[in-house]
Amino acid sequence: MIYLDHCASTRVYDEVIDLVSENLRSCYVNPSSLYQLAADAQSEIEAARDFLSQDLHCASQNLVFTSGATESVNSAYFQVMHKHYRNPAQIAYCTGAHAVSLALAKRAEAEGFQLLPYALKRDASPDLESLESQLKSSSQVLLIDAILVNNETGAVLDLDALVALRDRYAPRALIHVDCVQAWGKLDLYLDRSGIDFASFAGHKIHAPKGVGLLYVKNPQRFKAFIVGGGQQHNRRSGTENHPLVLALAKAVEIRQRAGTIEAQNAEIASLRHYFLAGLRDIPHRVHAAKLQIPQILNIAFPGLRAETLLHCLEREGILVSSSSACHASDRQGSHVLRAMGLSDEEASASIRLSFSRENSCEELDSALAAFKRSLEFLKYIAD
Amino acid sequence: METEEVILLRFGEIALKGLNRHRFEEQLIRNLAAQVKHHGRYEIQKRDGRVYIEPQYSEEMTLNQRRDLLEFAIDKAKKCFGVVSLSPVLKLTKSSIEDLMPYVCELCEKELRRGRRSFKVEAKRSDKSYPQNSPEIAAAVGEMILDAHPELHVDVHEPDFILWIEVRDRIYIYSEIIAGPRGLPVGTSAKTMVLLSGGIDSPVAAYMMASRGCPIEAIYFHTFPYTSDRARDKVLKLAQIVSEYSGPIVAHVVDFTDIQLKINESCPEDLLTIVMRRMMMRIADRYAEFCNCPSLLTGESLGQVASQTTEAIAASNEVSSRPIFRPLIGLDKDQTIEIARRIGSFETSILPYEDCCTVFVAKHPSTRPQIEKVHRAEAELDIEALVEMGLAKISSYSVRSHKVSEISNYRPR
Repeated sequence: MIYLDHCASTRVYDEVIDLVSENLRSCYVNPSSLYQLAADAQSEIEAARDFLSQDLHCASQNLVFTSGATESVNSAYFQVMHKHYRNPAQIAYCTGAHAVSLALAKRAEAEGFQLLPYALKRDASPDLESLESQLKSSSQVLLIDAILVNNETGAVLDLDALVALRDRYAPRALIHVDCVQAWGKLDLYLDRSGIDFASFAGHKIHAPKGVGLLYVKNPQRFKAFIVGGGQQHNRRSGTENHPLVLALAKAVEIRQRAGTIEAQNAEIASLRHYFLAGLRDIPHRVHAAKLQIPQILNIAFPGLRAETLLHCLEREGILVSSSSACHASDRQGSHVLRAMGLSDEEASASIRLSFSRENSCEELDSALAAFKRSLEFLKYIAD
Repeated sequence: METEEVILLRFGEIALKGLNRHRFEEQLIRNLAAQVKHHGRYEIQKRDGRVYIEPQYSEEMTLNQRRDLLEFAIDKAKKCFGVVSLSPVLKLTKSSIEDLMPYVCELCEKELRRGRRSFKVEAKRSDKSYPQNSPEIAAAVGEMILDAHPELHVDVHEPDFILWIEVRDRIYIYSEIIAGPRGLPVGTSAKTMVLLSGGIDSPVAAYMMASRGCPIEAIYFHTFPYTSDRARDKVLKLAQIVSEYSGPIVAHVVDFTDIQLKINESCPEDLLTIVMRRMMMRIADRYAEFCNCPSLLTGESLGQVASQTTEAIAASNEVSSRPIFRPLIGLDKDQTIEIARRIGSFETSILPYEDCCTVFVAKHPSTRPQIEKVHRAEAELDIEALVEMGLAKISSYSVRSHKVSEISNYRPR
């Protein structure tokens, strides 16, 4: 199997698996219990929080452990939707963001909020001009939602520009940024960023599924989305997930040990170039932005259906994603690519490869050969 | 006093079937037995022209286990064609009316909790040795209910509930009548082969013909990699949902990819769908012969899509030697969806995996194909060779409501 779908999920590092299983075996106490063993567990959790806050450049009290990014984004929207349900105002969101943002925006609209949608530009980067003109003509914007690295194209948002827009036109508005695909791929300085909330997921960075983070700039004003036993200073109730919290920190530690993000990205960029060079003779179109992470390669083979190619590749052991919504009844393709202004047909012809340092040139050689065989089989190129 | 909860089943159409009645009842009992036997021990008995399902409770069983045994059988009986209605019934040893009262009151309390306030008592005495006759039983029980539950009153015309007391070999009391699916027991008509696509319609069509007594076999045309293996699994899942009603289904998966590609190569685009459907019909027709299915079955509804016009239907009828049942022909989509929701197939049908009907479709398919043009479009195809190719690549699955497994080397009965 050659795994080229690292933006969907990642292999959990062996060292992380060992840590989790050892923890499950020997340290199954409830971290909130009163005996020493529980206190030890609690301090391990806090140490992990400290460590993670250093990686993200913020204070440890800014981080809340969650069950994953979906919960984190829900919690961020809750801050606005809960407080202003009596007199709902405006929420700006990106139509090319992850499904969770789209669903929450839709819910906010049903509850009376006015939506200020902004799309993507043709090169996949967020259309900040459109956002600017919307902010200019609105007076009650409470939340600006954005995605830092687009999960389907890898386009990077100009975060400073976004924050500047907020400061200029809607100083009261809070900013939430979906950082799921950015963690470990961009250097993040949350403290200095000016944003109010950020969401993270463990399983995209070689930790298990079921753990994530929410960055909260102002924890004193934070209203818990999940209430109960009052854990994590009542910011997120539920027995602390000791093993997965440790796993999250360990996964970050392993990545740090392997070198700077810059160096790792350079490594992956060379994989990407290698792959693209191999596709030289095959007609294709790459959807990439000026600001772009090298990990994601969104590539269209005009006239093909992405799912068909995906299943062909799957038969050869190559796992990729179709960025399309994969919906039988609508043949529209991915909402992200449509938010860039692509036609339904173009959008449904795109697949997404996502590389990691775990991939090798040899793997890419096999993948390229499989691509060629599949494209021949599908009569896309002559055999 | 010994008490036991059993299930009473009533038949409708079967009773009309004159001399065949016996055969229909036997079939119904066999079907029921097959649906419940993997879950626990049940006896299914015919007495006084009615059928009783009697869960075999044992001493060690907890109350919850007993309820589960009973409710499982109720659930299955509700899905068993031929059953018009059913009632969970308390079966008591014969005793005086006074001794029955605690059980009668238990039923009344249940009805009270449902907000029912008016009632009447219906008594039936077939055992003439019982001291009171039917009107006397009804009057006595009614009076005692009123004494015990002043909040209830009698309404003989439109009661909220009827309390039934039947004095037979034992005494049976009940107040609830649950609607059954009606129809004819599966197995009383000849087997039919449904062309399952993975959409909403074909499982509903299979359900409807099963309700006319047809055992079901299914055939699905798989075009990997154009349709994914998940699409195939979804079709098997749909067959499994239908099998809750129809009993076991044998589902056949035809590897259709090469045939499809040959069709694509040589056919004009606007006739692609109709030629593909004719190919599927031919293979289904030939395979139905092998499987002893004298009819085919589809979920077509007139005018719903381009391939379901009268002309297109005529074109696919032309290549089948056996009748093609189309029970949905006059329904609109909403009616079909309503049935799909009721039988529980809708949620699975709309899972987003492409099926053969969505991948290979022309942008502008011909809605009124002229048969000569279709013949011309097929002229370059070696039809017989393609049919053989399809028949050579079929894998079969045994689909039961609790299990799906592949059958190697399928031999039809």
